[in-house]
Order: sequence, then structure tokens, then C-alpha cells
Amino acid sequence: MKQLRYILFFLAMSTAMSAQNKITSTSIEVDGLCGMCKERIENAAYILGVKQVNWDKETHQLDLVFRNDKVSKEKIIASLNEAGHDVKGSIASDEQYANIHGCCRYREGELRAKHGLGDALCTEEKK
Amino acid sequence: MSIRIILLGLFPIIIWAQEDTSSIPLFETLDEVSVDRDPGVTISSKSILSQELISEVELRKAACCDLSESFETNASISASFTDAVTGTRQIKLLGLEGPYALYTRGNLQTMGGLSSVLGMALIPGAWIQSIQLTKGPGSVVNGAGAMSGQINYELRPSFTKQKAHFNLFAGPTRFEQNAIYTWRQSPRWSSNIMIHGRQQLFRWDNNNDGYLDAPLSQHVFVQNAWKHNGKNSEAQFGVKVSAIKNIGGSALYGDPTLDSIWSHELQTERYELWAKRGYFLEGGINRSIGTQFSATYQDLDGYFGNLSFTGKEQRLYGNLIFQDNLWDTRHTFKGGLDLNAFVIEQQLWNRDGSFSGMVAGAYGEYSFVTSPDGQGLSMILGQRVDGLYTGNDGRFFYVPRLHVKYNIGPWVLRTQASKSYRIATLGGEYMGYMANSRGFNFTNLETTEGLNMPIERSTTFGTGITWTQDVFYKELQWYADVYLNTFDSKIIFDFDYSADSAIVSLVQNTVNRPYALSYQVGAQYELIHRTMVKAAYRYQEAKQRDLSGVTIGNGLEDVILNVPHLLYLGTSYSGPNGVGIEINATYNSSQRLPEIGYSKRSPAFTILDFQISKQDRKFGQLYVGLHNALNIRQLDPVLGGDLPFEDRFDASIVWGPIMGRRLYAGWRYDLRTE
Repeated sequence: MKQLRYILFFLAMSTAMSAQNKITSTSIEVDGLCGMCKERIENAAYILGVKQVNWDKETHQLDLVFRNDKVSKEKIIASLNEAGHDVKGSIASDEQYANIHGCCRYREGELRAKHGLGDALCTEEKK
Repeated sequence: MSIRIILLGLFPIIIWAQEDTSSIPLFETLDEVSVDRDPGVTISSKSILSQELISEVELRKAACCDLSESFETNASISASFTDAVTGTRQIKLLGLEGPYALYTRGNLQTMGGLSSVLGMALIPGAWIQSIQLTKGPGSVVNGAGAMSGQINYELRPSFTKQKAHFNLFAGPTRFEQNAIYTWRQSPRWSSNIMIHGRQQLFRWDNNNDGYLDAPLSQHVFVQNAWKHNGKNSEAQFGVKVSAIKNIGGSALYGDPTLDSIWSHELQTERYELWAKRGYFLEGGINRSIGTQFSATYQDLDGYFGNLSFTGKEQRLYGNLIFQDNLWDTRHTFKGGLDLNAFVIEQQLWNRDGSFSGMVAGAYGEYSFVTSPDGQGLSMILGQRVDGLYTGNDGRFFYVPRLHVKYNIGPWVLRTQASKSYRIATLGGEYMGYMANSRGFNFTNLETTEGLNMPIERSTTFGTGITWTQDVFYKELQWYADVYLNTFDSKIIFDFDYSADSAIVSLVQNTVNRPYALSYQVGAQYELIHRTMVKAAYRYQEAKQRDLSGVTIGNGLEDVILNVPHLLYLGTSYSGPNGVGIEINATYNSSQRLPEIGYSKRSPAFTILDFQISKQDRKFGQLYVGLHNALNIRQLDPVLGGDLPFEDRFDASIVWGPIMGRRLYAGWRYDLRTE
């Protein structure tokens, strides 16, 4: 019985240790406006293999924790583009952007000004 | 260390501004909650009282239908039918029946009196934005009741980006419609109107016992609420009108038959008016004053077979609260005065149970927090003195309450000791016990003039622990708590003496004090990607004095229909495309039944529920569910139904579901302003 407990303990430890090495924590810049955008961005980023997502409305930073053996940063970015959001270094296509709800059209200057935001990511990238 | 106050209605609440004010059921902040990441139930580590916040996400998991049915995914509260004919459900919390809890709408007391149990049906689920469940007696600011806890519900606010909300629901023979429309008159003023309709149009007797499994019913509720945001003040007021008409009992109702049939009818109208105001005062960042006021009128007319039940209630309530910091922002003082005047007329069990009175109270509450993030020691010490006047008689009550919390790392320890008292309304609370042909002996509750106004008093001790930490990058939360309510004075119903009698008594200062004990442990974790798993186990013991001497002699016997062991397991999947899948299972162990005329104990049973929903920005949310998938039924909820006017008729002992498997579907839609 005692031996079994040791074995279980080591098993638990070793899976925990190996999981540690496979974890990546990173942060990417995603364009958006409001609480509804936050919902959409976090939902899009939370694909299989992702452990934690948190998008900051002010800084536009999306904090990510994911298992690098199950999912890659590129996959997450592709999913964000698919949902219609621009990511630094990967701008969503116009068809993808068309899915965004009217009140969340983060590329429009008027709405951006209303939320106190500067230039959109896509205009910055064009420069 | 920056702090700010937000007036929640007129009731000032301090919020540490560091992070998510959205977790507090306030008005404009809820739009910012990320729905997918919302676990549904949050046990706050900052609140000193033991509180769970049940958000709309959680309420949608069991998409039916009024406040009593909102707790199907919560192991702390179970709901059961009061009887087999009225279709009324009551909740149980900490082993005590529904009326032992305090119900508040935006921290202003509601229900009580004639609506003690019936009131649950008066609050449609679609109107509710969130529920805050406090275990054990809460703040003295809200009165001296709340023996088992406080259920504070927030209705959909008028200050919101949702312009309108619509909901349609259909179950077997049951239909519901809800419409909420919001408009903003000016930046300062906003208002909304809520309309609810419910109909049970067709006769439903699935167990073929000749009695309707659910009463034919018509409910119509309308509410109009207003809110004003001033520069240093806030005001809310509203009016609500509710009308219910139910017909239950024999499935032959209305047919010209030769046999005399046993039927039940209940018709009630309730009118409520309320106002709340709050002002920030000069000279202190936390200095404020608030007032609450409500007026209620209810008229109730009904009968159970040959027994009539009628009632009228008039109630006025007012509360004045002052709040300020002492020395610095770690110390807060609240003090105030309140008044509750009531006239209740009720005719029940062929007796007059009318009473009236006035309670004037004064209270003071001191709270302390070591640090704004909630770490370290926090406490609330509250005291109130109430004077009760009933025309020819006066009485004083002293109500002390102490809550202490200690946070250390991921651990939160809470403990409390409180005294409470309440005035019971027999008709409103024990209506379900009228659905039988027992002869009632009210012993010390009765004088030659009629039934007395019973006052119940209890002492509550509670302690609990919660632990929250990331495990494999996801939050695991587990908790354990224990509560004990002992009564100095309590109403007791004893059905054990014979099948055709009942003994009722207000036991006082006995050696064998009635008590209710509750232990609960539970955990929640996102076990599989996007799938939240909740598990809980609850043990409850409720004892009362054996009045009939049949079970124990003169000692303490188990209260009938108490579920000692309950296991809950719930899984909830929220997919990326707005798809939601819920599976909930609740195991209820065997319950004690009355000694004579029943099998000694009910069977144990498990209720299994499924629900699938799909959210779409254009079409709203559609949901389909299967309730009680294992088709568990109590097949004999009406005993002696073939000869209802004989001594053996009893429809008051309900231990399980009366309707079996039920398929339901619904639709809800939010119209947002751009």
C-alpha cells in the first residue's frame, strides 16, 4: 500500500514536471474596442490546448498561457483573425473583419475616438 | 489603496476599486463580464459574509422559470413542492424551510407574510440578473430575520445597453412569456417595464390518480421601475402588480359529476410600491445617507376542498441608514432606524389567524478590514434592538451578530454567531398543509379568539473555509462549511399521531431544542477544456420535539421530508460557437415520512437534467432541455384520493417530483443599442 502511494506520488510529480516544460506564457497585441470585443477575442483565443487568456481593453495586450505541444501561437493568431480581429503582424482579411458586430468596428476612426484610442493596428502596419 | 463608494440603490456598499467591480451585481458594469470565462458561481474572498454570487450565466443553465427553480444547479439550496395540488415550490436552505430565509430585491426586503412561500412564484427567472446567496444570518441593516440566510436578487436594470429582452418558454402544458423594455429618458433618468405571463392551460394527469399533477394557472405580473443618477445622489423607485389564479385538485373540475370532487382554487393579487434614495455627504469619502421605503398590499382568496383560506396583508416598511468611516477607511460604521408596520388578516383551518403590529428598530454595525485586498483579518459586529407593539402589548428583542473572516494566501476562513427572530404567518408559510383532511390541534398557538401571532427565535453558528488556487493553470476552488441553527422558539407540525390528525405547537425554552445542522463540501474546476465541473456533498440533520410521543417519546425526532444526504454533480460545456451543454445530477437520499399511513421512509432518487443551447447574435439564444430524464415520480402524491372527504385524504406529503420526464424549449433575445 505504502509503495503504491509512492508510485502514485512520483507519477503525479512527473506529469506535473513534464507539463511545466510544455507551457508557454506570452503576450500579443490584438486590436479591439470594448467589452464585447474582449468577449470575442478571449473566446477566439481559447482553443484546445490554451490554458489561460486575458485581453486588456486599455493596453490591447492579450496574455496567453498554452501548451506548446498541443497548440502554437500561429494557430491562436489564425483563430483571432478568423473571428475578425487584427493581430500585430497578422491583419485579418476584409471578409473576416466583416463578421464584426456594428458597435465593435474597431478600424473606424470615429468609434476609436469615442473609446479614446489612437490609430488602428492595420493603418499602422500599412505605414 | 484607492477606494470608492458606489451606492447600490440606497444601500451604501464599499467596493475596493482595484479590480472587477463587475463581480458585484451593479447596474452598468455587467456588460463588461466575459461570458465564456464566467464560472457562473463566484464565492467572493473579499466579502466578510459567506456569499455566493450566482450570475446570469448560471441562471441560464437551468432555464426554468421562477426564483424557486433558479437553484437547480446549486447544492446549497433544494426546492420541493409544498403539496401535490397547488404547484407551489419552496426552497430549503441549511435544513430549514423557505420562510426562514430573508428575501431582498436590491437589498430591500420583499415577500414575507402571505407571500412567504407563494412569493417565489412571483419572481420570474427571466427578470433576474443575478442572485447573491448569503448563508447564515447577514447584516442587521436588513432586519432581524434571515435565520438560514439571505437571498438577494437583482432584477434587470434600467441603465443598460440592452434595449429590450424577450423570452418565450414552453414545457408540457406550460407556457411563459417575458418582455422587458428599457428606455433612457436623459443621461440622468432611465426606466424599464417588465411583463410576465404564464399559463397552464391543459389538464395534466400523467399518473392517472384523478388529480391534476400541476394546477391550471394564469399568472400576469407587470413592473415599472425608474432610476435617477444625480450628482451626489441616486434614486430608484418602482411599482409592481402581480395576479395569480390557480385551479388544482380533481381532474374532473368543472365537469357535472355525481360524485363530489375535491378541488383547490387560489386567487391572489399583490401590489408593491418602493423607493430608495442615497446621498453622498460632504466631509468624508465614505460618508453617505440612504433611505428605503416600501408599501405592500395583498389580497388572497382560496379553498382546499371544504376548507377555505382567505387573507389580506398591508405592510409599510421604512429604513434610514447612515454610513461613515471611523478614524480611517479600514473602519466603517453603519447606523440607522427602521420601521415595519403590518396588518395581516387570515382565515385558515376554520379559525381566525389575523394579527397586526409595528416593529421599530435601531441598529449599529461596525466593520473592520485589515487590507483592501481582503487579506488578513476582517470582521463585522452588528447589533440591533427592536420594539414590537401589537396594540395592547409591547416586547423588546436584542439581536447581536458577529462575523469574522481571515484570509491567508489562497485560504479564506469565516466564522459567525448570530441571534435572530421572526414573526411567522401561518397561512402564508404552511399553505401546503391545508391539502389534507387532518384535524388540526393548535395547542398553545390557539386561544378562544383564534390563532396567536407566533414569534420564532434562533441562534446560528456557522463556520466555513474556501481555498482558491490555480492548478495546472486553471482555477480550482473548493469549500467546506458547517452551520447550526438552534431554536429558542419554533413552530412545529407533528403528523405522526394518526393519519387524520396533526398537532401544531410553538415550542419554547425546552431542554430539547429544535435544531437544524448542515455540513457541505464542494469544488469547481475546468476539468476538460471549456468544461466546468462542479461537485458537492451535503449532509443535513433537522430535529424537532416529538409532540405526539409516537416516534421517540419526549425527545427529538427527525423532521419529516428532510433529505439527509445530497450529492450534486454538474458539468457545463460552453463551446466557441455559442453552444452550451449542461448535465446536472442530484442524488437525494431517503426522507422520513409520517409514521402512520405511509411507508416509513421515501425511496432515494436521482434527478438528471440535460440542456442544450445555442447563442447567435442575430437570432438570440435557443434552448432545449430534458428535466428529470430518469422519469422519477412519486406515484401516490394524493393519498385517499378516491374518497377525498373521508379521514384518509392527504396531499401534503410530497417527497419527490410529481411530473415525470419533461421536455422543454425556449428562446431569449437581447436587443442592444448600438
